[in-house]
Amino acid sequence: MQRGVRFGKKVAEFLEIPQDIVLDLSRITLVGNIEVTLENHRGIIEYSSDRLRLALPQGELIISGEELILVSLAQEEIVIRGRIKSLELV
Amino acid sequence: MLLVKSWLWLQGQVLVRVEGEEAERLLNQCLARGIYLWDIRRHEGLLYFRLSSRAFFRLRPLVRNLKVKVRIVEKAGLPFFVRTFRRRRMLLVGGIIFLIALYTWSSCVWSVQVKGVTHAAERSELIQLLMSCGIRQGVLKKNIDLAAIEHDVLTQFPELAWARAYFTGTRFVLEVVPKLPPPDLAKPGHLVAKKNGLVLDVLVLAGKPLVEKGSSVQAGDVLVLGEQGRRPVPAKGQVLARVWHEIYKEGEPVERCWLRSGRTATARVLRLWNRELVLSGTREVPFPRFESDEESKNILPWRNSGGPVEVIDITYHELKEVKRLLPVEEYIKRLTDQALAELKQNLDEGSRITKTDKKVLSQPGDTLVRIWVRIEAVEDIAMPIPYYPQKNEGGPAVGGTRTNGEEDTSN
Repeated sequence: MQRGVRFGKKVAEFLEIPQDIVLDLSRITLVGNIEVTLENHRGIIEYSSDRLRLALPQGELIISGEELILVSLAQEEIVIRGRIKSLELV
Repeated sequence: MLLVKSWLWLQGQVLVRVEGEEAERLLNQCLARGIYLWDIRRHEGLLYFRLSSRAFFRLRPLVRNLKVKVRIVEKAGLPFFVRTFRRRRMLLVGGIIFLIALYTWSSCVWSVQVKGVTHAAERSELIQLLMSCGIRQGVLKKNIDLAAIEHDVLTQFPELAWARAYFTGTRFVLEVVPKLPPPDLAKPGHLVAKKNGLVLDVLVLAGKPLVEKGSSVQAGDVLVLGEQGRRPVPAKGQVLARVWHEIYKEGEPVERCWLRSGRTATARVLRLWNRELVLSGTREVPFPRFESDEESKNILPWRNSGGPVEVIDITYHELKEVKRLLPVEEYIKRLTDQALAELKQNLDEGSRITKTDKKVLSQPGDTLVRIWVRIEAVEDIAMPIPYYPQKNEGGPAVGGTRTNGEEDTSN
């Protein structure tokens, strides 16, 4: 881990500030297996109805499932619906 | 969300089909330029999404730089709706004509109803009056003065106590209430006996007494004649008499009660206002007779129970009939109490019970218990009955019928 990130993490823990804000991390909200909300993303890498790869500030999120739909696509958040089978952070 | 959706509909939106390898890049470029996309899906290798029709024009320069083909599949929303009407003028005209027709025809009277009248003759007279007031099919509702009609009806039909005219939709309704004829106290009448009895005391305020203390009278006998000298008067007075009432009762000295048999069934029910939806468990209660316990599970724990939405666990307990033999003494007492209560119902207010007799008719070993109860009471048995004296004969006729109307010759 980089030095800046480590320092930021310490500060965030000390001040009890949500780490996603301080460290520029994504916030992933999963509603059962039917909906994923992703805040703070860097765009779509690949999209098909059973596999969705999304770019994160650090790394990549791969969502596998069936009948995946992007309900809403905006700069600040993406809402994905479908039968979600797995989330993978790469 | 609904607000956002309806705003997008007002703006006009298009469903777009994208063909080509670089469809994802198109999505990313839209993201970068702040073009809002929704309902993005893959279908048979093609990418479909929706965007506002204004944003679609910002999409075009992006498409030129990428190896994709973009096609509009569907247009929806207010601007396209308006365009349809602009192209099909007559459709709009038809719609407007329809609305105008609906409005004008619903502001007319299409049917007339009279409520509260039983006689067909009176009904047709009322309808004729309404016709003369201008109420018929096709007349405009706003030209009808409801208060004036109510007034006319009441003045032309003095036998009506109350009238109200109103509209329900396109129906004109006239509701009337007829007057009840007042009891005519000034008419001549006798006092006759209501019940059989032995006269104890006669107090006459008006009329000529025909009975005295100690007379035995039958129901219907004239007690006080409605006559003063030879002039017919309404007889008034009080005739106290000793009256006997008796009753016979029988019954089986058995008490039936319903007890829980131990068999139960459960159901979980979602209650929305008054509707119930069975979530799990038995839909139909499998017992012919049952009691149920309800336990409410609050979905909204911060609310008090009794809200419009509840989940309830219901337990049904089967009930079986159980017979229990009662002690005969106790049963006799119960029957007697019932008999006395029934007898007392026949007594008028102000009557006084002076004696109670009770006899048990059944033998101690019988299956049925039979009793006989008699009470003796002192009651006012005088009852006024009007009569119509005949002018040519002097004597008042006994037992005239009570009528109101034209054949009254008493004045």
